[in-house]
Amino acid sequence: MKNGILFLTFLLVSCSTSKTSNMSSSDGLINFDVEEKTLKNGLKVYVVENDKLPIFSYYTYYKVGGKHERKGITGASHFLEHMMFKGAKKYGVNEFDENVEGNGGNNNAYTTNDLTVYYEKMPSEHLDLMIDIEADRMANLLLEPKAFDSERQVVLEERKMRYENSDRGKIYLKMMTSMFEGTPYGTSVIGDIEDLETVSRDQIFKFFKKYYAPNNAFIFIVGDVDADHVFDEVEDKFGDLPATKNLEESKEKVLNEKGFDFKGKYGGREIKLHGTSKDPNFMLAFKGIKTGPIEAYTLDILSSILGDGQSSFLNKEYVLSRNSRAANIYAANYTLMESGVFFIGGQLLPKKGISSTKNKLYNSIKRICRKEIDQRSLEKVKNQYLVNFFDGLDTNNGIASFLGNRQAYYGDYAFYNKEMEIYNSITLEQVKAVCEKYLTRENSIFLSIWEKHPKQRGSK
Amino acid sequence: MKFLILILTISLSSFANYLDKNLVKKNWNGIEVIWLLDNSFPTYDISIMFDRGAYDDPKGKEAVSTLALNLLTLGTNRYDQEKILDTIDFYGASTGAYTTHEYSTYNVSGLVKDLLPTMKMVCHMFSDATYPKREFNKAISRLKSAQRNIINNHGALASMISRVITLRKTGYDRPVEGTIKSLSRISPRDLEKRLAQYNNSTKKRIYIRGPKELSALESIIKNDCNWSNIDIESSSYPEVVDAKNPNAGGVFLVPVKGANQAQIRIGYHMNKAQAQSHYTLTSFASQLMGGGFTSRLMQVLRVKNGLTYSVSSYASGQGNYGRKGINTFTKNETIVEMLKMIKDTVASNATDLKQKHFESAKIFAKGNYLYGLESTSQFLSTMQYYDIVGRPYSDIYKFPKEVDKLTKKETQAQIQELFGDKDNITVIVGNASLEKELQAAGIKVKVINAKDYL
Repeated sequence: MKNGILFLTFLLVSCSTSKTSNMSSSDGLINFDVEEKTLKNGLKVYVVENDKLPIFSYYTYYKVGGKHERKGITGASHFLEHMMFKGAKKYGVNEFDENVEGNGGNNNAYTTNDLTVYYEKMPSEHLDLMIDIEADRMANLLLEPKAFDSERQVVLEERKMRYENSDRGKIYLKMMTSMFEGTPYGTSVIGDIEDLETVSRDQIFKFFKKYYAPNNAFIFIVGDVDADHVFDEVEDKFGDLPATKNLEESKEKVLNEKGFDFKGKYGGREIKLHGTSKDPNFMLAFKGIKTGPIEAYTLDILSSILGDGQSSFLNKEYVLSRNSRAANIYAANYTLMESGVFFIGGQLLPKKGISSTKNKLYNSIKRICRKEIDQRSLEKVKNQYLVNFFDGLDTNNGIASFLGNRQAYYGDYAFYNKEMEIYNSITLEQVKAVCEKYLTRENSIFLSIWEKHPKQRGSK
Repeated sequence: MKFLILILTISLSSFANYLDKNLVKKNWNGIEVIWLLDNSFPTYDISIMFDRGAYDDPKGKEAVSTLALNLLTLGTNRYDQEKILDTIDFYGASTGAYTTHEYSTYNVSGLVKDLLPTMKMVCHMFSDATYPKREFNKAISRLKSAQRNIINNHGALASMISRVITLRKTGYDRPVEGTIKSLSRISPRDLEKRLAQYNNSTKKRIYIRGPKELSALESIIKNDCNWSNIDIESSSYPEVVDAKNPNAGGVFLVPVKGANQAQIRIGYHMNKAQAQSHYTLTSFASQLMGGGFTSRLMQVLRVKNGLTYSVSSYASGQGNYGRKGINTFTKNETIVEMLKMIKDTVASNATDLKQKHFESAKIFAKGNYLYGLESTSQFLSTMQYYDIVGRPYSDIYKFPKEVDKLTKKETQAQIQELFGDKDNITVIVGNASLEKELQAAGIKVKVINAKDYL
């Protein structure tokens, strides 16, 4: 395997003699020098020293997301994410941003079905302040009523922007809720409108008390910091925070109420949404699998072979060919912690039929997987993954999220090398096998959104 | 605070030392090459900058400049589209063009080990592209489809229309991406002619990030691309001096179906002098108003009043002109309140900017500046921008010190000039019912049709 061998033999040369070399080469693979400590209350802290510039990035991962919500509090994780910037006991209302930006930093956060992640960039001399602020809001969030009501409006506007006023957002949201119907992934991360309008401060506060605990979080700090000093400060500020008792059991209970087995209606079910697009957008979604098993990596490769890049099979057939019918097309394999979905999406050209596109897609996938995928297409994807692997690793933020995501999804920040080994080991036969197994009409739902679809939500 | 200033100065000095060691300038056939040596990864970024842009597009054929570069992959005399795309993708490389009115870049990234076959294919496309009719027609159909459907992306639609309206009479208002009509008028021959200009009569500069193994590029540029700057004169476009926009001070509503949110763009063009003088002050005043969570507009519109999820302001210069503005959105019911609040926030900060906010914004601006230098590829982009606006690289290190020197008085005046300008034009994309609401509030609004801008 030509590209795999080249990857293993490429030597990374450090450009500095200082600790900028937080990355080093060992047998050609990247190695990050990560120091770690676990506090008695379960909080884990990871540090990568990098003195290229006197700044650091601070990532906090809370292991809570949309999947932990129930009807009535959908969107709680995301709403709480907003409220985490609205003040705590020591650093009061609006003081979070004032302290971060007013000391030359910036910050943001995001929420997914599985996680809520906060991140800041700061000049190094403010490390202690940042640790203090993060500890304060983990321990003593205010959820101040006036700010709570004001932020509710902000979240509703965000929802409109991302979903209701966007055909692409609308069809994606419907795809996710339909594919994962009846499972903890079957709600929208941003929340249902009625829940967002009615959720109370007390409900969010209970959610916060349960999930924002040191034994449900880990921290990654990358930059011009001293690891021993970080550990001392974190111990000092977070060490006395109580762990949530029986948290894992409680989380299991919430998730097991519904379970992650697919419960929706599939079999090629068609869903039509009324939108504003002049030409229809479509999505063909298949039941997928969770992060971890080798089939999940194989589906990643399959999605790239089918629909990643201009020379991908679907792009050639649907966009570039003599009988083209789409303005664009793509494929993606979205693996979550407990389940997954494989989808193909795109936008049709004018006067191209929606139903005929659906049927053609099933046939194309079958034909491509059985007859057309070859060794070269597999090698091509492995080359693309090698380039993507290095993306963003020249910044503290890039390194912190790269390692933090692997810690969150695999329980091992150093999993990246194993990950590339797995991708490199995948064979053509394995790719064809997952295609036959997962990309079937029985496992699928087809969605489209168009200005000419009737306003009432319909399916057939 | 003094400590932070010291830290920033020291770090930028050490960064300057790093650049002294790793920034290499070369001359290949008269083409200036700016190369940031970076051995950290087995990857490279190459950006070829042409000093001509969409300003040259023939009238009625807008998009020729960008399409000549972006459609290179359609085919050559030797290779068809499938072969070209397969070759580029096989090496994990990515290629693409970016065109503004004043310049164009062609960007290539990939693995160092595959530099030769990738760049040889790139040069082959530049030397031999034919834009075959069948592939060309399909590409145009896709572009028209994208243009037609932009109406579904209200934010993008608002930004596109605002750009055209605010740049009227400057010479820079024609859309780089063209319109459905202009796309219909373009032929493969137009693209071939434009490509020949890029190859033979346009001055080039090359920016590289990557390890020393990339030196093989020199021979490819000379022998495969056949590029040279010898005997090519530098060119320039007209400066915007005093263009009176017929739309100045107006409020425009673009009705779209089913919108439950109003996208708002408020802005105007800047002439060359405004765009290029007081760079630090302009950049600082813009960040202070709409550059972060503690910015004045964000605090009033989102934090205190929950009227929006996002608001930002900008003031940016190109070589001969610039643009300034505020971007935000709100629900239909609060459009009037939102417009008033923006106006009031600008006015209050232009006359009575609080010392605390002024000082805090200075620290924020300097910190963020530092983060912008963290990534080598981002740093290379910064150098490219400095070349475009004609500023020396040494200015990169001066920003923190220049921010320290700014006074509150001049900052207030700049806020007024940028965002309190009576000529600023407001474009709203939203529900048709907003017209009545705006009129009832005494806001004279002109309704325009989105189709006229597609």
